Amino acid sequence: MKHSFAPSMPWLHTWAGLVVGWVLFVIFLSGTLACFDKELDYWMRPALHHLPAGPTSMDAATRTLRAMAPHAETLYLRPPSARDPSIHGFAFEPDQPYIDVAFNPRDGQRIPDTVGGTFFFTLHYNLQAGTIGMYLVGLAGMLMLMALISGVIIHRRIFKDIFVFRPKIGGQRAWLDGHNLTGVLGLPFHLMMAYTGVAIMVAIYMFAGVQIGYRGDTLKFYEEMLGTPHPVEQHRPPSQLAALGPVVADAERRLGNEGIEYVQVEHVHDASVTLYVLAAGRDQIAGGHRTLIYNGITGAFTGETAGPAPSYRVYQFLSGLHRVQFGGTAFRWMYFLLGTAGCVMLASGMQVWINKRNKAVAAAGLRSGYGLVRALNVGVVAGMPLASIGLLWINRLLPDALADRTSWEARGFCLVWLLAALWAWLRLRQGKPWRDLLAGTATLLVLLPVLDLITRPTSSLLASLRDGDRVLTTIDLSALVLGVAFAWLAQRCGRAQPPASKTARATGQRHGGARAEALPP
Amino acid sequence: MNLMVSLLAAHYTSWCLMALAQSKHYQYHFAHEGRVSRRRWLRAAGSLLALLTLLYALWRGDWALGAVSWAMSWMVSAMAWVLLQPYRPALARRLALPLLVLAAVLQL
Repeated sequence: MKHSFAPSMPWLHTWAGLVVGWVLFVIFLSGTLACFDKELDYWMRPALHHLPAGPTSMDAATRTLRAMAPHAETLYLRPPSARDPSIHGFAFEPDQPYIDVAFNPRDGQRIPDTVGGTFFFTLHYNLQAGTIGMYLVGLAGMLMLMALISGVIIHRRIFKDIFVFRPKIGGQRAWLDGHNLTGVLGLPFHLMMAYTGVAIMVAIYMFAGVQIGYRGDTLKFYEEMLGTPHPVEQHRPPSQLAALGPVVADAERRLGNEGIEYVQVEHVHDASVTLYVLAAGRDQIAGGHRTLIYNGITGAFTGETAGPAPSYRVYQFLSGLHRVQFGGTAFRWMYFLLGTAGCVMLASGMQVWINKRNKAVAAAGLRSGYGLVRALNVGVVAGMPLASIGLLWINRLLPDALADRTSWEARGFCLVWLLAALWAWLRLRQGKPWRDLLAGTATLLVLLPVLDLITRPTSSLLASLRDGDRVLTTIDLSALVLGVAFAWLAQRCGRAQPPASKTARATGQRHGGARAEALPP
Repeated sequence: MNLMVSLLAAHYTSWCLMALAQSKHYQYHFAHEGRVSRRRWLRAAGSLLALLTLLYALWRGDWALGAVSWAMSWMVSAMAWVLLQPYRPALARRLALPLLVLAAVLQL
């Protein structure tokens, strides 16, 4: 490491970026896909397509959920919304896996399980690796903040070159332009996402406050923050459980535009059973802050909670800005596009690292750190999109009745990715692994509507176009567009490339030292 | 949705003006550097447009959602301009005015 501020910044940018670059790519890509988690969820649950019109049966769903989790103290039920027509149920039983299931809103019966769009969301915030994953993501987020700030410092011509992109020059220059373009023009977004992303998990990353201020009583901490009183247990069973249908109807009337996020049934087995209805507040960045309280036995409205503390509201604003559950589809598309730009920034940054060390890479061969970086670049950057579209294929190919269907989907995703990474590694010496994997992704994307037509004719593009199902149509058409984009990338990677060292010499290797005359010809 | 599309379109025009205000981009498009005063006007027009769209987005509805819409579309449009410029420079430039008109029409 260099010993003064300015020269140490390129070092910091290089290593803070490279060390967590692949993890960040996974976080970025899964986060980008998770912008449309509910839409993907809907796509992956054909049982929800073409639902007959009719009333919503919250009570039937509650009965099904209670039967699934007989010992759970608290049940959560999310009524259908514009983005998700199913009823979702969540429950947690001691020493049991967390229950997260979707019910048919008409009869309250379980529909075939899938990891759904939530898979990408979970991958985004904990890499599907529980608490350790959450810490890894936090560490990656902090290093990303460092890489962003040091990146701004080392980019000497940040304003002069803000519109510069010279793809036709090729080689290192074009990669660096691409890295700068996506990094600089998307900088406000990347900074905001990295900061709010770390801030969302603040209570987990910096738990000392709760440990000292509340003597480790996290429940009390959240009770105070959210302003939701905890019902006092009466130690006798309730005579009955209030019907949820009328409660939801009443709450909808009281909340109006705000809508319902979910209904929480607290103390299911005790006479103190209470229903909390949380407002969704989709027209606000911070989401809803009102919580209605109903008696769990009679279903009578008993009032509203005090609402969250102002500090918690600030937290909700930061978290809402990150999670983009507010506004309409337009916002999610903006986040999706900027997230894609972030993926390009990471991928091109790691490519710049390799290109810059061309000679050393060639001399060191594949069994070296350089070989590892190259293999990880292809395996992660080209492998993960392949595994992601692979997941949608697996969802359609696995039979509905398969036991433990969600695990098989997740295993399938990992298997596709592993095979892709293995292929990349084997083909690095001779062959074009980038082209292979990108072409594979393009094929799966373009053929997705065909697969749909064969496996689920009623959910195919033709059927959804006919029925005016906007979500299904958009997903299938987006797959086609992305497929064409991946095919174009594959074709570019398939072209014969000039010898690496020559390209490097011809285009100059100075980091950030753009040449003014080198605008696109 | 309409507001976002309008913002995207107007930002595109704004970025186009601000890019042409740089001598190297002006030269790339018109084969000469252009007068300094002309480039100054281009920069002023581009900045003014960005300011006006910001005020409009804040005024149109909820200020927080307006500010986020403005910022997100600002970045996306910048990338659209920079990506299109090297491949189809003439088209990239000629799109600016029709897009500004579209932005206004959508808000009527």
